Amino acid sequence: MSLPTTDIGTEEYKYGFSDDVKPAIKFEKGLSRQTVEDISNIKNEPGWMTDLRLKAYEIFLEKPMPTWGADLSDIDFDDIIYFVRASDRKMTDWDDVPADIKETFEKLGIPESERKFLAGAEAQYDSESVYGALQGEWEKQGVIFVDTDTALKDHEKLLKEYFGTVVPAADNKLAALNTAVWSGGSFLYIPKGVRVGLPLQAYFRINTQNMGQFERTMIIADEGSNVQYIEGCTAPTYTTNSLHSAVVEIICKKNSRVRYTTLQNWSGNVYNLVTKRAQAYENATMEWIDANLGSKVTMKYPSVFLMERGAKADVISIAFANTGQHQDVGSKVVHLAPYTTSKIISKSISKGKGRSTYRGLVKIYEGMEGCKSNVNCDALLLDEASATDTYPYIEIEDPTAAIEHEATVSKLSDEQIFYLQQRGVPEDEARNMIINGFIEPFTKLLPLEYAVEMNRLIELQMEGSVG
Amino acid sequence: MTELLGFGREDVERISSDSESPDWIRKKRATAWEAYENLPMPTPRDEMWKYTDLSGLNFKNAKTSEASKYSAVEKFESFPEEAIKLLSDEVIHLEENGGMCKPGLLIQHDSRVTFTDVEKELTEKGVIFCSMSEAVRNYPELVRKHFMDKVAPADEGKFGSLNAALWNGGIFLYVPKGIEIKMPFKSYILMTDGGKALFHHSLIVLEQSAHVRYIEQCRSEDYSTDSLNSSVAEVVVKDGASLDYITLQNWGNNVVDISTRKAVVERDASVNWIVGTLGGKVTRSSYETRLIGQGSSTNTRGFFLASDKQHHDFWGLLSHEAPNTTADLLYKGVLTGKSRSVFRGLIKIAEEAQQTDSYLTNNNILLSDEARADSVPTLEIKANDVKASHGATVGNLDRDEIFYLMSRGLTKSSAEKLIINGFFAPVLKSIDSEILREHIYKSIDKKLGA
Repeated sequence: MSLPTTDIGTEEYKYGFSDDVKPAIKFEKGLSRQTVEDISNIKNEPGWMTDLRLKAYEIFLEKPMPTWGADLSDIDFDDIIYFVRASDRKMTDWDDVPADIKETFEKLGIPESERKFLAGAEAQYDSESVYGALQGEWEKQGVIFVDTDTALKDHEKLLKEYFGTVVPAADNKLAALNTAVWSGGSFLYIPKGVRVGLPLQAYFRINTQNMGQFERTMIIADEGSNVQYIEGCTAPTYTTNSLHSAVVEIICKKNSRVRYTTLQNWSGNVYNLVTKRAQAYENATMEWIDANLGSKVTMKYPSVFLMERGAKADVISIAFANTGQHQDVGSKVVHLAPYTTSKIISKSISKGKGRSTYRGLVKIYEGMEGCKSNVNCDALLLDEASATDTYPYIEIEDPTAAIEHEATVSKLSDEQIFYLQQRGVPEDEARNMIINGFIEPFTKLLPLEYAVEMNRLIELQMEGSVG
Repeated sequence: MTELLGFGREDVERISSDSESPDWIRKKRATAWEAYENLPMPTPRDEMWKYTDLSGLNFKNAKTSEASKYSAVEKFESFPEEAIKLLSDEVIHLEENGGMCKPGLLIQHDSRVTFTDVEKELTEKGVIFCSMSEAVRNYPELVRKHFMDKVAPADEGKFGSLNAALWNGGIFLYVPKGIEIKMPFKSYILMTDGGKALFHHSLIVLEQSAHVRYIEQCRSEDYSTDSLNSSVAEVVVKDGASLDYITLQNWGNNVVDISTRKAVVERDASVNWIVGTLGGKVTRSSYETRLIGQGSSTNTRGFFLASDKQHHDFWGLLSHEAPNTTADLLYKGVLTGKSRSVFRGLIKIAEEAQQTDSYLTNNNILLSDEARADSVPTLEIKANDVKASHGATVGNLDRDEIFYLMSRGLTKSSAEKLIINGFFAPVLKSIDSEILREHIYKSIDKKLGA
C-alpha cells in the first residue's frame, strides 16, 4: 500500500500567520560582545548579570556545535536578530495590551483559556513578555509568577541564588548562547506547602522574521509544594529560519511535585534547541510532559537529576515528524541518590519523509542502591519514506539496580484498520483512532481542553493522508 | 599521548618479502598500511569507543610473526604434551571419533599454523579447509574474489587496516554448491607466550545451498606481559546456504583482543553466530551482519562472564538491506569483581527492506558493587512495514530465587551458580556439541570460583 505524502504546508498550520506589529526596539542581525552588553543595558540589569552574560558569550564562542544529533549546519548565528521588544511596557490587564498583539493572542485563544481554567498566564511576544496575570488567591499565598526579566528586578536575591545552578552556561553551546542573550521566560516560585490547584500557563510566540527567541524559565518548588505549568509555542511560517533556544531550570525541593507540560507547535522554519533540566530532592517528583509537533528541527532532552533518596522522575513525550521535520528528542535521568526511580515513555510518529529520533540516557552511579528505571519507546511509521531511530544509553554502576529498556517500531496495523472498517468506520477515521490510542498515555495527562486540542492537532497533521 | 602500537613500515615489508607472497597481496598490504597510518587511534571521544579506553595499554614491544615455540606437525599426537594441555577437550573429542579429525581441524600456535587435517572425502568434493597463506598460494583465483574486497576492505578502520597490512595466519574455508556437513570444522588459535601480536585473517565462502558449521576457539595461559590479538574474519554466504559460526574466546588475562567478524548474507541464506567471551584483559568483539539478499536471516546468541578487572565490549550490527529479512540477537552477561561490560547493538533497516523483523536483546547481571555495565541498544529504521524491537535489562540475582534454592538445601554459592547457569541456558543450549558445552560450563564454574 502506498500513501501519498503531504507536506506540512502553510495551509495546514493554522498559526502560520504573521502580524505587522511595529516593534518598540529591534536589534540589527548578528551577535557580538556589544549585542550582549546592549541587551543587558536596555534591561537595566545589575552588574553581576551583565558579567555572567559576557562570560557565557565567551563560552559560546569556544564550544563546538553539537554534531551528534540533528543536522544543524544551516544555522547561521550572524543571520539572527537577538532582541526585539514588541511593546513598551508589560500589561497586567488584557485590555491594555496593544490591539495588534492582542489580536494575535486572541487568535491563539490565550486569554480565553485563562478565564476558563488557568490560575495565571504569561504571554511572551518575541523577546519579552507582553502580558502577565496571576489569580489573586495564589498571589496571597506567596506564589510568584512573573516573567524572568521582572523577577530579576523584583526578586533578585531569589533568582541569583538559583540562576545557572541547574543548567550552567558551560553545559553546551546553546545553553551558553541562551545565558548570554536570554530575554523573557517565566519565573515561578511556589512557597512551602502551597498547592496550586489550577495549571499556570505561559505562551511563547515568535513574530519577527529571522528572530532568535531565548527565553529563560525557572521554577522553584519549595518543600511540599505542588504545581502544574503548561507552555505553548507557535510562530509564523517564514521561508527563512528562526531559532528558539530556551533554557529551563527547575528545582523540586523535598516532597514537592512539579509537572511541566510543553506543547511545542512551532512553524516549519524554526530550529528548536532547548536545554531543560530539573533537580529533584528527597521524595520529590518531577514530571515532564512533552509534545513536539512543530518546528523544522527539535533537539530537546528534558532531564532530571535525582539528587536525594526517594526522588522520582516521570517523563512522557510524544513527537510527530512530518516531511521536512526532524524531531530529535528524548530524555536523560541521572540517579545521584539511592532508592530513586525513573520512568520514561516516549511515543513517536513519523509521516511522509519525517524523521523522529529517541535519544536518551539512564545513568546510575556506584553505591546508589535500590534504583529503578524503566524506559519504553514506541515508534509508529506511517509512510514508506518515514524514518525513526532509537539511541538509548544505559550506564549502570550499581548491582542492585533494576533497569528495563524496551523499544518497538511498527507501522499502522492493517488488521486494526480492517477491523474498524468492517465495523463501519471510514479508513481515515480508523487511522486517527489508532493514532489517538497510540498517544493516549500522553493525552490522558493533559487538562481536558488541551487533550482535545492535541487530538485535533494530530488530526490536522493526518489530513489527506489516505489516498 | 604515547603511541599504543610500535609497528612500522618495515614490519609490512618483512612480511611482504616472503618470496611466495603474490603481488596483489603485497599491494593490499601497502594500501592497508597507508590507511592505518592516516587513521587516528580511536579514543573515548569516538562514539564507537566511548566506553573503551585503549590509552592505558602498551604494545610497543609486542612481536608479530615470530617463530612459534612449536613446530608444525603431521599428526595431532606429535604435539608435545605441554601443547596438548590446552586442548584437553579436543583430545576427548578425537578419542571418541577414533582419532579422526572429522571433517576438519586446524591449529594455530601464535602466528603460525602448526596442524591441518581435513577429511579426504570432502577434499575430493572440492571442500577446502586450510590456512589462509596456503589458500593464497594454492587457490589465488578463489581467494581473490572475496579477500579484503567487499566484506572487509583492506583500508577500513584503524585495527582493520592494521590487520590487513600485517595479517599472518587464519583459516580459509570454502564449501562448493550443495554440500551439507553436519559435524563442525574446528580451529584453535593458541598463544604460547606474552608479548605477542597476532593478526590472523580468515575467509569463509559458502557457495549456493551449502550448509556447514565452524567452531573457532582462542586460548592461552596467563602470562606476565600483554599481548594483542587483532583478527578479522570475512564471511560470504551465497543463495540458500547457511553457516553456524561459533567463537569461544578464553584467552589468558594478559591478552587484549580487538577482533571483527563480518558477514554478507545473500538470498534466503543465513548466518548464525554463537559468541562466548570468558577470557582476555580488554576485549572488543565486533559482529557485523549485512543481509543483502531477500529472505536472508541471522541469529546471534552471545554470553560473557567478566571478572576481576576484565573489560568486555561487544558491538553487533544487524543491517537489513533487502526485503523479508529477519534478525534476532540475544546477548547475556554476568559481571563480578571490578569488571566492566559494554553492549552496543544496532538494528539498521534500509528503505527497501520492507517486511523485516528484527530483535535485539541484552540482559546483564551485576554480582558486585564495583562492576559496571553499559548498554546502548539502538535502532535506525527507514522502512515502515517492519517489526523491530530491542530490550535491555540490568539487574542482580533474584533474592527470592536464591532463598528458595537454599531452603531446598543448596548452599548460597551453588544456588547462585545454578541461577547463573540458568541465565546462560538460552544461549548455551544452542551449542550442539556436548563436549564443548561441558567445557564452557567448567570454565564458567572455574571463573565463579567454585
